[in-house]
Amino acid sequence: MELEEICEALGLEKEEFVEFARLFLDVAFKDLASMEDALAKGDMRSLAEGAHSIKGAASTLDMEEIFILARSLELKAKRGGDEGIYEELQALREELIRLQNAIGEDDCGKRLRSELPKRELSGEKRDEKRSCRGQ
Amino acid sequence: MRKKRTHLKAIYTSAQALLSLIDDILDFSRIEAGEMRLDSVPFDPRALVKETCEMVRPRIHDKPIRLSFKVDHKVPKILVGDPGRTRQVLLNLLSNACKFTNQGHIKLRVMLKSAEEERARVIFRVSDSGIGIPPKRLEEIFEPFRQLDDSLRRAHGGTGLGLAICRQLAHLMDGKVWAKSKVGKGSTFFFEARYGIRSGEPEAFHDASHAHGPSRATADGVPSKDVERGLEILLVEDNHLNGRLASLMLERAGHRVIWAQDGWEALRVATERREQLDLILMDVEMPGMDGLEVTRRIRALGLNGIPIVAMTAHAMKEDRERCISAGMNDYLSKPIRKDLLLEKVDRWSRKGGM
Repeated sequence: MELEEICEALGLEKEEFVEFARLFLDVAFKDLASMEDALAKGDMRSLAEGAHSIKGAASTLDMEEIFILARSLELKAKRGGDEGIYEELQALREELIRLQNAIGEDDCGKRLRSELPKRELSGEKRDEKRSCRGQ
Repeated sequence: MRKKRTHLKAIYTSAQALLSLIDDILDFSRIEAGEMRLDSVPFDPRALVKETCEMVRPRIHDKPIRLSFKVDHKVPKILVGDPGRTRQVLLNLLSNACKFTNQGHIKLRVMLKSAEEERARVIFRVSDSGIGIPPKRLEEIFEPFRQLDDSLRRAHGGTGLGLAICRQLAHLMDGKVWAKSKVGKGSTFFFEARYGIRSGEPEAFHDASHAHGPSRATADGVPSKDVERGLEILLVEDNHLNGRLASLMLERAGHRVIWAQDGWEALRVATERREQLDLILMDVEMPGMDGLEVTRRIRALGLNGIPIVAMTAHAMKEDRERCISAGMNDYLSKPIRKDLLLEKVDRWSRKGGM
């Protein structure tokens, strides 16, 4: 979804959308720190809760890459295994930093979406991306 | 253009029929495999019966039929069982009555057959003045994929699984379904089921929903509050961003929002503001007490007249059923979108309580 479309769907001005994106980042970085801490302690339930929180907000703001990573982390944590979780947490951190940079570079949100560099997604992730619309 | 619209309508109707068939087959298979699990939650049978009748009423809007219901005073004010599956059976029986009745009446009556200390046997009776069923076919209609005849199937649709599912669900509720009929005079279907009774709670449950419903719809569904004046809405949402965003959307539309960030806070606000609240928007997935449990507790507290709309990313039929079974009235798909949210709020504010 383009920036104009998502702003309309949320009933927000572009500047307000950027404010919400900033709020999202504030909360998401805290959630991420809790998730890293939870992984170190082997507390998968807390990890799943953190991922669920990021997933819900990312879905609302139509942040697809972040949504996909958070959903994957939540599923893995709920299943109880920790395989690949560390790598996905790192990837999530990278995505959040990219978003932070995009907001920082743009003071009124005009280029926020278009300037967000696209990650190279694997085939599986591309399929997930297609299917994550509307969730 | 008109042709296109007709085609689209036909496609939509076919898709709906197909979905309905799939739902029926899934239900049937689940019961056959012993995988169907029934809920055991308190619910108000009067509210359930009223709501179910309202659901089928549009189907007879173009026929001279009087649809009415009566719940005998001996029926406990609160029953403990599976309201979703109870509604499913009643919907099926009432839908059949609507299909096969062209004029006259359709009546739903609820009676208490027996009551012990903690259990009650309840009979739901659906009678109509429809075309009737030949005596020798009365048992066959409960068999899977059996209908009276092909011409009726073509005329009225259906899979032939509905009554078989009703009978199985009734068995799961330690009850039964049976029918009496006279060709040309009408049919009467009986659905008997066993429910739990909770001592102490029934009065509060019933009184709150019917006698003291303060700011919601009157019994005939006339809204007592105008949406333009703004509603008082309890928003239950643990996600900080979603909570702030939904609050903003609602407040900009002129509503007053109380935002509860967890289930316990929601219960506190719902209890304290029971007289003022017009609507509850309930996130389903929350850590600790989830939205389904919060809803069950709100209903068990006797707050039966406040509509509760689930906000959920899970929109499968089973998820929706779980919401309805827990006592919610409707659901809203996530992610939150302004138009859909306000449309749902508007709809429930006009409709009022159950």
